[in-house]
Amino acid sequence: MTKFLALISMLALSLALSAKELSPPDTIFHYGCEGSLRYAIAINVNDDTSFTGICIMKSMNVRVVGSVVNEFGIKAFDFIYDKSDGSLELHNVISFFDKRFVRRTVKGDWKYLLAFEAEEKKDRNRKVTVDNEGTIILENVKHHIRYILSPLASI
Amino acid sequence: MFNKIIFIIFLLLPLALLAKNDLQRVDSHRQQIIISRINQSTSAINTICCDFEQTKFLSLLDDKLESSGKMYFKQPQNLKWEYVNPYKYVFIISESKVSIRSMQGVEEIDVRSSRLFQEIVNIMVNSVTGKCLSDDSYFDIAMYDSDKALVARLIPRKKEVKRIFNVITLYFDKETFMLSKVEMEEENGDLTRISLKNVEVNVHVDDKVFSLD
Repeated sequence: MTKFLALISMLALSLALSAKELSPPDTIFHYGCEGSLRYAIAINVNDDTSFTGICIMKSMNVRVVGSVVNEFGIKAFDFIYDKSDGSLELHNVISFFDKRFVRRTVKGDWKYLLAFEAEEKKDRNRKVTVDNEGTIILENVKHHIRYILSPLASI
Repeated sequence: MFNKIIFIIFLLLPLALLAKNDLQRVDSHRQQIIISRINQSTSAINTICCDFEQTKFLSLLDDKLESSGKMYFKQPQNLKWEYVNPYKYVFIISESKVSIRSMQGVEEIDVRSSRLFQEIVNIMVNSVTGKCLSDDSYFDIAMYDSDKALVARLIPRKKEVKRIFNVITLYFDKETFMLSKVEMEEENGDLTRISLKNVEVNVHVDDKVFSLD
């Protein structure tokens, strides 16, 4: 029993060490000289996979512009984030995301993620973690939505 | 006067572009003949194996996403679409079931449970075989002839597909009447182009290929 508890403790510790929870104003996205990032993305709602695909984002002066598409290339949505005023707009939203509640929630989540460096404090309804391999997880605790962004090797 | 000249130039520009691409619209009689030849050619197909290269042009980012993989088809309605690079993703249609393996794991969907899925499955399978050209319930079809290919421009009729695609363009080899390229234009200005390479027809394809096991 004692050995079992020790094993569980070590497992919990190793998991805690492998994923680090971020706090503002930590930097999440490191654009590098090309100014572009690519991720494999999964969006889970209530622990069910709702969407998988690719997220590409570019830093263009004061704006971050991005597209989320599925593996076949079908667009889920575009977003434009303006660093100067912290605003975020969704564009070209596919029909099954294009419901008022969904848009508002997705917009709020992505705005929190992209504005993270400029935030003054954590949002108690949202949590951002990053692991050693650079996988970013944004969790909307209130609505049980999880966005998982895993870095994609560039080609 | 100057504005009228500019207006006329803009009207003629699309025609100029078509001429540059040597695309000539065929009349309805010739269209039926071409479709018949494609059907004749594809009716002899039992299996297809090929590589594919996909390019997604993202209008808002002025950028593109390139991916590649393998495609397998076996009559009557077995299709495997496997992305290998830069991401791993498998999509299989077999016996009214869609199986997906993504970074999130495995998912199986009964095609009959979703009308949108049914439409997508039918389009994918029928596009591979060219059968979509014979069923005008799905698309309004216009055929074009060029030096390099026979081109079918498909305007979706079904609401579920119209929401996603404006136009789907199929390119058929003029000698073999086999599908060589697909382009899908979205309303937002994005374009997805899929080119089929190293196509092998009627080679042995094991049924196990269409399983995630």
